[in-house]
Amino acid sequence: MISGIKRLIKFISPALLATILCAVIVGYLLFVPPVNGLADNGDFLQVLSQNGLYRLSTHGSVYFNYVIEKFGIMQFYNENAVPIYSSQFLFVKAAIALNKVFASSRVFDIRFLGVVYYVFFLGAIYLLTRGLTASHRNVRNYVLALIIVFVFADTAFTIPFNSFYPEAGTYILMLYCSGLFLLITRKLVKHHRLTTIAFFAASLLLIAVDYHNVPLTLGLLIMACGLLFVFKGRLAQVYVVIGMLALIGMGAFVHQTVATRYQSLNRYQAFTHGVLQTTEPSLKVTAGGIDSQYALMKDNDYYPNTYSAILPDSKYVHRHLINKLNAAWITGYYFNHFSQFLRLLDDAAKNVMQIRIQSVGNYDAAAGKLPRAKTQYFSGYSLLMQSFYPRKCAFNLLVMAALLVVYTIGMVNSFRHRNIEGVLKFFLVLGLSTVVILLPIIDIVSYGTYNLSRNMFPVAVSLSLAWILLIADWMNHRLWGMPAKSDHPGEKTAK
Amino acid sequence: MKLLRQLLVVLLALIGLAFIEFLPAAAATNRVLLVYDSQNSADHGYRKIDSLQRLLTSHQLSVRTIAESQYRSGMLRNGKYSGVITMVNWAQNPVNNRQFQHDRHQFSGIKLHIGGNLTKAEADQIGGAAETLRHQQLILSDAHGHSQLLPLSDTLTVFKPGKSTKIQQFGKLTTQEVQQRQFAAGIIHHKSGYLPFYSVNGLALQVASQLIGKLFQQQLDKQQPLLTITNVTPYSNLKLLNHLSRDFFDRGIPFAISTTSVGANTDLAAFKRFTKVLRNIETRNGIVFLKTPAVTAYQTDQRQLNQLMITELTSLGQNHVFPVGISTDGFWNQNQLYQRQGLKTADQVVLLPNSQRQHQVTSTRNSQVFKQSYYGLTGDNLLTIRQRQKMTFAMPTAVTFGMPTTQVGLRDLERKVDRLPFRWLNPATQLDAQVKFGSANYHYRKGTYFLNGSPVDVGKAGSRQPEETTPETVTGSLNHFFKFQSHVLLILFSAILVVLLVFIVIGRKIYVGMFKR
Repeated sequence: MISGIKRLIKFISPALLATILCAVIVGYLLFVPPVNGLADNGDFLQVLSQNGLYRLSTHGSVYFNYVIEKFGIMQFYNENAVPIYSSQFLFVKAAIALNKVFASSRVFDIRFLGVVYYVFFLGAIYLLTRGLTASHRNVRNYVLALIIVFVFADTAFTIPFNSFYPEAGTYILMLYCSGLFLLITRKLVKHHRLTTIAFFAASLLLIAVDYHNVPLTLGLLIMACGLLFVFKGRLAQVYVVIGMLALIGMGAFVHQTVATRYQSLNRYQAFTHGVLQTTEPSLKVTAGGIDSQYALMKDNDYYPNTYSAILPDSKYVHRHLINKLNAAWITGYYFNHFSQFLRLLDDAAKNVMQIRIQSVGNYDAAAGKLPRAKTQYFSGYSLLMQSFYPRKCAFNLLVMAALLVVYTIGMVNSFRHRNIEGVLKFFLVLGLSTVVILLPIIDIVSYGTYNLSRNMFPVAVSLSLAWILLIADWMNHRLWGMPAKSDHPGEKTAK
Repeated sequence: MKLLRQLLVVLLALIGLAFIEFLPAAAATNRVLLVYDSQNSADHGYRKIDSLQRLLTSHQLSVRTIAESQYRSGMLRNGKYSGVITMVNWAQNPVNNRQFQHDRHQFSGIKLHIGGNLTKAEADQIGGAAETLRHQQLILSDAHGHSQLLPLSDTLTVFKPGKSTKIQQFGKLTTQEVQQRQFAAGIIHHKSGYLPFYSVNGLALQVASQLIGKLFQQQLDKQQPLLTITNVTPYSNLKLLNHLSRDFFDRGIPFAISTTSVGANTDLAAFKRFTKVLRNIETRNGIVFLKTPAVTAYQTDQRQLNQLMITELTSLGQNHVFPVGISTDGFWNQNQLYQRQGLKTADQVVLLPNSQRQHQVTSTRNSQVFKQSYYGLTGDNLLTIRQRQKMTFAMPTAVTFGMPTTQVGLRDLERKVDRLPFRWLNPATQLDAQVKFGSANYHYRKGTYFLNGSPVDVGKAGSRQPEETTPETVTGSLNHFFKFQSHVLLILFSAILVVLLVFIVIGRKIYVGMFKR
């Protein structure tokens, strides 16, 4: 028995164990009928038309209620093609190519997109687990692998794979960025340079997946700063700086090309769903030539789905309201009404752990479930977090501060031992903290409380990564930056 | 055997009855079928259809509109409609639906043809000598001595004024040649009418209105126009609106405004401010029409619209603003859902040109008829009519001006109103209007507002009704628990952080002390 386990351990590392478990758990969710995914809330249209797909006619309206499995592949000129400014199209195009090879050139099955995401996801899980557990094969690290599976194979994170929502790409690429960074940190790869290039590539793709990810640039830049310590050569450092400039460039590009297309919408909703979220906003908003009457627009959407006293996209509203709003005005407003801002940040904190997109169903119509039915399959982590995670912005702030204190000490200690591992980990935690703390602030100013739980998705991933890193370091006694001697068996002989 | 045969006859008769559509007996007298050839979007032909629909409604005629290509045999049965109107918007592209031509020929009711492509049968029914004019700019004049220069027309089929007493003429078209020739701008012979062209405003519309009134025997001569300020919203410049109402009051001009309202946020100060300005209008001999909201997506849920209209009317009423009627885009009256849920409450309706890009001209059912429906006519175009005497209208008309956004615009508007030589309709003496919804009844009679039968002083702000309080639910108390838990954890973590920092400091001192020995 014991020898059997030993033999198994010889073949199956913790990283491989995590990958296999994820493959089974997520594979069952995505590919075994009834197929689970996310229903369309209307956002699919853009991705579909960008990639030459279209909705096949369905019985009745299935928006929000049921997952659609089959889409048509255009056999004609795509007159609705809009410019592509999202790296998501790489995944979708790959899926379409697979679909054409293995299934049909006319009907696209969403599960092919699921397959593409699934393969990339398994790679990410392998790298991440390896980065956290290698190179020991003891009980502690197998337990750690199980924890990683429990957290990162949660349905809330993986169910977007069978959909066109950008969350799928965001999630996988965030795992890649952290996983690759950890590999460099723990010196687990031979080719540092290649890994660094891969890290930058994943970062660039991550920023470009969705324009809501632009604020992540800051966190990624901080992480990249750490990489300057890895390379001793001046030239290599110059390359890292070039990589950082590329990140900035990508952030600016996505902001300029995509975010500006939604500028009116975002400004309007930052106003109606943010600035006006107070009991009596009428007199507070009059600064900067905005008529107090616009307080009546509280809670209105830019594209109202029923009736409206005035159309928000009309020239009149643009001239008298939207053109007068900008980030500076909104920041100034929150500066003067700081308690309201803190309350909105708490609202954001409440939504951090609402990981799953709540408004849409998870089953296809054929499964015979109620409209908008949700699957409870492997949702332990997300349900636990949703129920018990504190809903205060100050809590997140404290947690990140505590983590930073721990990793600062770790950095100082590592520095004394001439070991850069602690330094890099500090930058990783600092990068994740930036996302956790700054993203809610930026999102409240830019979009208000509209779509808050979806906008907080990267925060949930960052927090989960930070927890896992902490647990892994604690279990392997690496927390205070003094690497356990057995961690690097080769180190002694090298010295 | 005989009994069996009788039973069979009775059965067949019953089946036959089931197929006959149920029609109110009196309704056929004011039902009209409007058949158009094309919406001709390039030439904004749909605006003409919309205008004609509104014109017919203001003449108390209930109209059903279909495209000629959609016409199916038997739609135009005798007895179902009192009249049929053919409108040609795109003469260069004739639609020849034989079934329609045949049914129209057989139809014994009133027939009106508007526009080109007059068939020979139609021309014969009208009688007189037809002539085709090409590339002419004509002057239109009416019997009261008003005249207006028309835009250049491409091709027009016109009739020379005949001497027969059976033929009635409306308006005169005069060419601008050296030797001026004159033609009829509208003509009626027995039950057939003909208009060579249709215009959505100006004198041509008045001529068309006179002709339709006469032809369908719904004459409403000498209607005084209602001055109406449109495009008012809760987001309009309220100072300017207040200023405008004061100016009109000072000059003794009675007026109406058409404003949208909101269904939510009515407890905010901004809504109080809005209703205060509307109350000022009520006290300054102005009346308020509630404009139907902008439609952003077609909703099949009927209750939602009804609920919104009731909420808007209620919230305005609570603040002592009592709309005397509903104002709406023309297409609302062509759609069953909008008719039923949006327009049913009022007996006075202002029908405005479609302000939204979307437009629906065809209808599955007949449009609704109201006690009084005002045709919304933009005031700007009336300024170009040369007038000899005070002008009156052949249908209830609301002469509309958009709400200005600047002081300059306000002055410009007032100047325009001064230039129009109308005796405006005075609601305080001439209007009796009711809005009924749920258990409430807003009644306006001779300048006094009644709420459920008792008079209301609109000079004072209304009292708000107490807000509903929501009972605490289980989830509510659970939320309290989690909120409490958040606080506890917050304090706990803060304490741990402090302890941690203290330990670090102590630990460091001990560590350094170890080397000092």
